[in-house]
Amino acid sequence: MDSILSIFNYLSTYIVIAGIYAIFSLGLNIHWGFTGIFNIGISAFFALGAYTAAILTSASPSPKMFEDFIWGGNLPESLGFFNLGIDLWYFVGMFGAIIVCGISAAIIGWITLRLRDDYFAIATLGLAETVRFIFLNEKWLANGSRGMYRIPKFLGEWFPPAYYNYFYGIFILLLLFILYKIVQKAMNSPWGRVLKAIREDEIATSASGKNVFLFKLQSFILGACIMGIGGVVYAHGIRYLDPMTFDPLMATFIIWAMLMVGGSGNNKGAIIGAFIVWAIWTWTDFLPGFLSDPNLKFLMIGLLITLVILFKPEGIIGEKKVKLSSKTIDKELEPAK
Amino acid sequence: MNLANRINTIPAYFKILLGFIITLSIAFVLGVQDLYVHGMLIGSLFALGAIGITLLYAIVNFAHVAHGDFMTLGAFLAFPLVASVVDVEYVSYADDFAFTGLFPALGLDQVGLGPFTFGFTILLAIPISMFILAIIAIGLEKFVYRKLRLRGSSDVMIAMASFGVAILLRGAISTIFGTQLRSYDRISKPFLKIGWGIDVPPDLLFLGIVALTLCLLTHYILQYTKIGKSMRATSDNPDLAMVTGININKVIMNTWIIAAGLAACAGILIAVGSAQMVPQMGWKLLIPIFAAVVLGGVGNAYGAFIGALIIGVAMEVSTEYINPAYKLGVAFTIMLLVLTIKPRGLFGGKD
Repeated sequence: MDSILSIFNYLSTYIVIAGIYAIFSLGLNIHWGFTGIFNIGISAFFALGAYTAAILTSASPSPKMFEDFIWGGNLPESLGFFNLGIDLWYFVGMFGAIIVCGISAAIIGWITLRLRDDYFAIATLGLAETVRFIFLNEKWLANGSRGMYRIPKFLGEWFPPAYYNYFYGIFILLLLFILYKIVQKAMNSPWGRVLKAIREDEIATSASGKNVFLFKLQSFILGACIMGIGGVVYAHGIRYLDPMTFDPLMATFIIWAMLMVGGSGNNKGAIIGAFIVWAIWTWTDFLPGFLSDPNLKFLMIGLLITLVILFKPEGIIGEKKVKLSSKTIDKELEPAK
Repeated sequence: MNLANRINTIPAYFKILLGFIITLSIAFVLGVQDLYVHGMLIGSLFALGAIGITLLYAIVNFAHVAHGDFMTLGAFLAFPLVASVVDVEYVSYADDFAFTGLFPALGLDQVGLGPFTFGFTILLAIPISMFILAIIAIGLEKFVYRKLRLRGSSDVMIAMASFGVAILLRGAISTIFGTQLRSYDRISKPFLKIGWGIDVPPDLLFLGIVALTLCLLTHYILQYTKIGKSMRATSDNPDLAMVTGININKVIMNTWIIAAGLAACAGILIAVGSAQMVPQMGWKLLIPIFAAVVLGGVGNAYGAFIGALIIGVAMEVSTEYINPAYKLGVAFTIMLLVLTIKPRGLFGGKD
């Protein structure tokens, strides 16, 4: 009985982490899969989302707890009645994180999205490192390297701690489903079709009268906001944040591997890829000897990305090709806004 | 003739010299001449990386994201050659990990050559590491990048592949050597007092000279040899170069050899200069190096060199006024400013 329970516990933790990664993968799919913008600074939006939520919801700092930051929003207390008994503060924090991620994406995108895609990539890389350094060095902001460790639990009073991950896992899957529906809807809309057109041929798209830059900027902001949501879910799920969390390996590289393996350009692929790669990542822990070496996994992530690009660029489930019949052509030709 | 035209007629080298003299005088006035000189020397190390990236941009037209990890790999390739005994308590897969490097095994284990902290074996290790890395680069070009190019993949897709290669290399390095701090065998030496309040570690002076020599060598290759001429022709107009009988594949191979050689050398010099090396050091250098490339104008090797010096000086001098942890942020900010105000860089380059 105990062993069955421990397997279930393990699975619930697996679903929590893989589900969080799936949210990032979904956000990255908007950037790379649909618009073709090369973002290698996912960890920037991960960090901004997670820290914003953590700062907004953490209790005011106390020196007794070795906390050096100067302000914690303490939303669960300060919202008081407006929590309505269902911990609405969680969504207020999430809203804050979305705003912060959206604004920073808008600023970086405004500067760099007009230029070649690879300048943009380096700019996102720089943003990721800068954000990490700010959180590491500005102790007054988010407690520096000691990290934030009094992040409240979402609906923590409703579920006993032993079973909390079951609830949170289900919650994440639900949230993932909603986000999936939203992204799916957006990408099948005329707006999403413009993004795909930009990915395929920027010049032709701008020749047909679309403002490529603005569409790219919108796509970048939307993806960044979804990554911010992933950060919020992570912050309240793991309930400990320090700058090491946002090391490029675990916060950027692995997400790229997930998207590439699952199939860029396909939202289902992005989600499935996250679950597959995270399964490989955690389940190789049980292998004997040097096979469970974390550095070897790192090597595998790089190998996976390179091999997928070389031999199976469409991933496990590639993008669905639009079949053209007279009916779909009529639908495709609906004027885009 | 208006003023702008007049300024445009001043030769570039004169402007650079003038800029150098003016900034150096300002540094003296502000009392940061020490940091200025440090920045110049560190910048000359960045230049080795930046020239490689910018040449690859010019010839194969993609952002080589793995360049930082090329540098790390260069440094780590020299490690088993010159580090005498490594005794580490914990390397993930083996509890006792100790070996004698190749040169120390041959009895060449003196360190502290003259005023320097390292032995002369490092000078033997540099060309070996450059050679091995050039072979690795050729292999990657043959089996990864050329395949993608022939398939007609976009430049971003190829940059993406180099991103995968970057992670792969870093993973391989940390699997073999572990992730803790390493350094070549060394003994501490006092700083060299030059006067006017400038103290430099003799190592850094030596490294700067090696870097400058290599930059001059690259200049010679680009300007006066057939290899360099065909490279410049290809960069200007690949189709025209092809019809005049230039073998593009050979040009691309030569570019990889030069870029990888410079990267390997840069890696070793940086590992010597900072007296430590970790697998992620190259990835962190990517930001200042790309900032240098963008500042000098993408595809412009001379621009990359000057850009690297400027970035090096800016990063070092900034530590006088702000938290030294934000050095990278300074490089990043400069890059963003250049991209907004003058996206073609100071000396003009590809868009």
